[in-house]
Amino acid sequence: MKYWLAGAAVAVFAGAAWTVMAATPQETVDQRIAGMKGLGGNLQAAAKAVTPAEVQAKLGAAIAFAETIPTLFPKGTGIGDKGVTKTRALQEIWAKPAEFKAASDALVNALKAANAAAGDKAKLDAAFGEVRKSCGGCHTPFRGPEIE
Amino acid sequence: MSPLRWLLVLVLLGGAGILAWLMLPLRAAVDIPPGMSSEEPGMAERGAYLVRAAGCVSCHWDRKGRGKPFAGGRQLITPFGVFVAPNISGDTRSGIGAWSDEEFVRALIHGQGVHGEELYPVFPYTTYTRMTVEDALAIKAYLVSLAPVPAGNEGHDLSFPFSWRALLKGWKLLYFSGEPLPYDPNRSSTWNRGRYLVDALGHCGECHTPRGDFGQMDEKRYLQGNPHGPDGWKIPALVGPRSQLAEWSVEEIEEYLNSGAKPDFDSAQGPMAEVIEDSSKHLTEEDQNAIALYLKSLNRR
Repeated sequence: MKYWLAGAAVAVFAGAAWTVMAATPQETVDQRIAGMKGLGGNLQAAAKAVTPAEVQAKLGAAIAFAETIPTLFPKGTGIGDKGVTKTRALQEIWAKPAEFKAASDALVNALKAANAAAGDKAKLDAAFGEVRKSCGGCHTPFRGPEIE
Repeated sequence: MSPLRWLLVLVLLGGAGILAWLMLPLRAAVDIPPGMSSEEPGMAERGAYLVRAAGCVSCHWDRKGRGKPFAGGRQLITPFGVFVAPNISGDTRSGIGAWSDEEFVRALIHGQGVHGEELYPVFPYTTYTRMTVEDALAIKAYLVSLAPVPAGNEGHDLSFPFSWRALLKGWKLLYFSGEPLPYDPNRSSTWNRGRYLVDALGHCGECHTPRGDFGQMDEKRYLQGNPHGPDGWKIPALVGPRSQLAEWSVEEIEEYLNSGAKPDFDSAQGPMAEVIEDSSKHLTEEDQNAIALYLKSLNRR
């Protein structure tokens, strides 16, 4: 049983790694952009949701995505990298991996706090404020200008 | 003389005339109503708020080089070369401390410097020209009320022929029309206030409107977004088919002006983050509301 579980885990990780590896750099970027847009949509919906269950459903999806953020930035998918035509990812992401990881962890933590606050309007609003801060906390140092 | 010679004389005279017109400073007439002055009591206090609304400090402050606010020195990189924002503090030598009311209004509303020289439209007098004379004088009152900062004004580093300032007279003839913003009696006073904040003080169009070959704003596509904005940023549309503001509520626009938070939890960055930090978040709730209402009115579909 143990071996079977370990094997399955290895297979899942290998599969995840393979999908990232197999995509071209621009495809990785495009997936990332789509994921971020989805995250924004979920957060907007969570902020407008009325019942705690709705809030938690949207935040649950947001957390699941947020936890994958560090894996969405493999080396070679930033501004100026070969095969990348459209991205705002600054090279600082790979120059300061610890800071980048901390910034993305901050988002996950803020989202979990918001999830726990569902049902308490005042607490939830404050928690959403922290979520917003964490978005800016990564975009300001690690995202470059929008260019055409 | 043969007709050919006559033609030559005419061409030479015409050329000399154009040259003289370009070279000679022709100061615009400034109309300050009698009794109105930047030295009236309360003007500096009014001006403090207007300077926020007009976002003066964002350009006239070399933040990265640790300069002082309003002392200039910030470099603005454009396709025509590098402009260096001048000192607009109250220093009498390097700033505007020695300027008369008339000279200040002439700069802000007519785009001419103290020596009658034409100013480059990187200074948004193209928009400030819609400001009232009274507001312009209040801005001066505030600027000279601050501690004067002596700071040398570095020259611009422009490519030829843009380095030839005299040509601006031709540019202004083509692209500059100094007209105050009319009050629209068919709209609410809030809407009119919003328009004044957006189209005169806030000079939103200077970044959000695309520009033509000579740097002029493309008035036909007013506020429709500019793919080549400051520091390489793509500036989004506030009006027209590519504008997202139709989907934003009035409250969401207010929140954005106040904190930079977008409805999708993203936040303002780059030049707009500066605008929010230096200008829009300091506005009263009424003024933020007026801007939001005015922008929404431009997005009815």
